[in-house]
Amino acid sequence: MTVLKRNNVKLAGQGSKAIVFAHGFGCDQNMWRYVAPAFEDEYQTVLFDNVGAGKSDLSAYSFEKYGALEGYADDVTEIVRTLGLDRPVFVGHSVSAMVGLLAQGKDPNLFSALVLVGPSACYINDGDYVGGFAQTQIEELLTSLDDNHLGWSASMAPVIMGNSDRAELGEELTASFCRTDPDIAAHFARVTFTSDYRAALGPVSVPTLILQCSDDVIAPNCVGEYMHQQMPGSTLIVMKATGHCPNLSAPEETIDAIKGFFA
Amino acid sequence: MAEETPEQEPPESFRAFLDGSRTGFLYTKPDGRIVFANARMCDWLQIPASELVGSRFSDLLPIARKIYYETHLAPLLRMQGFFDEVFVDLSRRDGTAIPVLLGAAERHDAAGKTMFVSFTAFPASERRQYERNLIAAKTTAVSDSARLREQLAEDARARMTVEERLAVSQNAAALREQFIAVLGHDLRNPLAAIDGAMRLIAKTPLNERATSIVGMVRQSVERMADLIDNVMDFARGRLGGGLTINPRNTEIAPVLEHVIGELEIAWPERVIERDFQVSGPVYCDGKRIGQLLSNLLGNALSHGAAQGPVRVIARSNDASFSLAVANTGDPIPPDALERLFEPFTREDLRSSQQGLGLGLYICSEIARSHQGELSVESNADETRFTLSIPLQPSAKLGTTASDPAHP
Repeated sequence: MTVLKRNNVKLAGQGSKAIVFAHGFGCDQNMWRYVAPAFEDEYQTVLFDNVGAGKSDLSAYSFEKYGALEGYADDVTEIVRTLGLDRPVFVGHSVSAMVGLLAQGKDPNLFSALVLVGPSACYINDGDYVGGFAQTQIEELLTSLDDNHLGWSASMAPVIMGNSDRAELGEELTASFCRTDPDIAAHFARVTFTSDYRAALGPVSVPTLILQCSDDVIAPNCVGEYMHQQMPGSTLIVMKATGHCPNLSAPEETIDAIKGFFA
Repeated sequence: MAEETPEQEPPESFRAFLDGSRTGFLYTKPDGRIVFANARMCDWLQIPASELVGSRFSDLLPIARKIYYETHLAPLLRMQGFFDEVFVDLSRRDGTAIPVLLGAAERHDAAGKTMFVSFTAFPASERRQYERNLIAAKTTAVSDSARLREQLAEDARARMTVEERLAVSQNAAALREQFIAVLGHDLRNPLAAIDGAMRLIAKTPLNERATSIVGMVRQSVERMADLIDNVMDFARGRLGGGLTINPRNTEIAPVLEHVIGELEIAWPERVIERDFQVSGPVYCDGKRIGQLLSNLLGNALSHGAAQGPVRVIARSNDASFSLAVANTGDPIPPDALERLFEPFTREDLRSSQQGLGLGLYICSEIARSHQGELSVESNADETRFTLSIPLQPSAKLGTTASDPAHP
C-alpha cells in the first residue's frame, strides 16, 4: 500500500506551487469541496483523507501510531515528500491545523506557509486557559464514546440513503462522507479532545494565518486569540462565518481570506 | 378536494396545527440560532419559546452529541442539504434527556442561498429502550461466549496439568513398586542360602565363639527376612490394590503370647508386661495381628527406654477389639508423628536398628484392612500405639484400597 493510496491522495489544478488541504475531526477531504477548486488555477491542489477517515485504507489504522497527533503529522510529511512537493502551502482545518504545526515543527522547511482554520492547541480549560470545554465535559464525551454504539457512525447509515438535494453531489460521495469505523471514530475523538500541544506553539518561521470563526463551540474565539498570542508573527482573522466548518458554511469568505493573505 | 368541500377544512390555523402536533418543530437561521419552536418542542424541553429563540440549537444537545453535531451533522447538512433519522438526546431544563429522532433540512431562497434550517423531532424513548436492550443482549452474548471460551481453555489447561501429574506419579509409583518387588524376590534367594549354610554349620561341632557368631548371623538373617517380608507386603499391597487378609474367629491370646515369647527370647534383658482382658474369639486374621504386634513390640523394645517395661494391653468386648503397646522413653517429635504411618518414614534422629520405614505403614494397612485404625499417642510419660477394630460378624473384611494419589 503506497502512501498515496493509504491516504486516498487526490491531485488537481496546475501551477508551480502546491497547496495541501487537510481535513479535521469528522468527515473527510470533501470538507474542502467548495474551497479547493478556487485554487486550481494558481496551485497544484493536494487533498487527502486521514487514515481512518473517508476512503483511506482503514487497515492501515494503528491505535498506537494514531494515539497522538504526531502520527498524523508524520503522514502529512510523508505525503509531501512522496509527491516531491517544494515547500507547499499547508491549509489545515480543526485538529489538522495542529497536525500541520507539528509537521512543520519537526521539519521547518516542510511548508512555506500555514493556514490554520479553527485551530485549538488544547480543548480543555486549564487554570487561566480557556479551551472551551470543562474537564468533566470531555470525560462525559469519552464515556459516551465508550457506551454509545449508535450515535457516532451507525446512526449515519440511514442518513446517507436517498437522494441528495444537491445535484452536484453523487450518492457515492455522501455515502462515505462522515462515515467511519466506530472504534476508529471513538479513538480519534479521544486523541483529539484530550490533546494539549500548547507547548508546541511559538514564534512563526513562515507566514501563518489563523482563521477564527465566530460562534464556534469547538474552537471558540478566545482559543484563536490565544493561538495568535502564543505564535508571535502570526496573523489572526476572525470571520463572519459561524460554526466550526467555514469551509462548508462560508466557502467564499474562506477562499477570500486565504487568497487575501497571499496577495 | 378542499375547494369542493370547504366545510371540511380543518378549523385550526397552521400554527395551531404545529403546536398541537406530536412532533417537535424548530427553525434556526443558517448560523444555528433558533428563530422558532412549536409548543410541543417547548413542552419537551421545559423551556419557553421566548427563551429558546436566539439560543444555539447545538446547545440543546449533551456535550458528546454537541461535538458530534458540530463536526459531523452540521457538515453533512451543508453537503447534503438534509439529514434524517439521527438519534439524539435533547437536554431539558431539569437536566434530564429526551431521546428523539431528528431530521433537518435547509431551506433555500430562489438564488439557492440558505435562509433557515428546519428541524423535526420525533419522540424515540421506546425505540431507544429497544435498541439499548439489543446492545445489552449483544454485549451479554459476546461476553458470555468470551467467558465460555476462556472457561474451555482453562478446563483444557487444568485437565492437561492433572493428566500430566497423574502420568508422572503413576510412572514413579509403578517404577518404585517394580523395583521393590524385584528387590524382595532377589534378596530372598541368597538369604535362604545363607540361612541353610548357617543351619548346616550349627550342626557341626563348634567352639563357643563360633557358636555365638553363628547365632548372631542367624539373628541377622531373620531380621533381614522380616524386612524383606515388609517390603513384599508393601509392594504386594500396592501392586495388587491392597493388603489381603483372611479373617476368621480367632483365639487371640495365644497368638499374642506367641509373638511376645519370640521377642522375649530376642530381648532377654527386657521386661514385657501382659495385660489381657479378652473374652471369646476375635474375628480377625490372626497371622496379620501377630505381624502387627511383632512390629509394634519390636519398635517399642528398640526405641523405648532400656530400663522401662514394655506393656502389651489387649481388650475385647462384643463390639470391638483393641491392642495397645506402650513404652516409656523420649516422646516421638510432633512433626514425625504426623507422617508416622506413611511408607518409607523413619525417624532420622534415631538411626540404630532402623528398617525401611515400612513397619508402621504395614501395621496401619493391617488395621485398615480390618476396618479398624491404628493410632498413636506420645508424651513424656509414654508412647502408646493402639489398634482398634470393630467386631461385627457381618462386617465385610477384605482388602484395603490403595490410593495412588498418596503413595
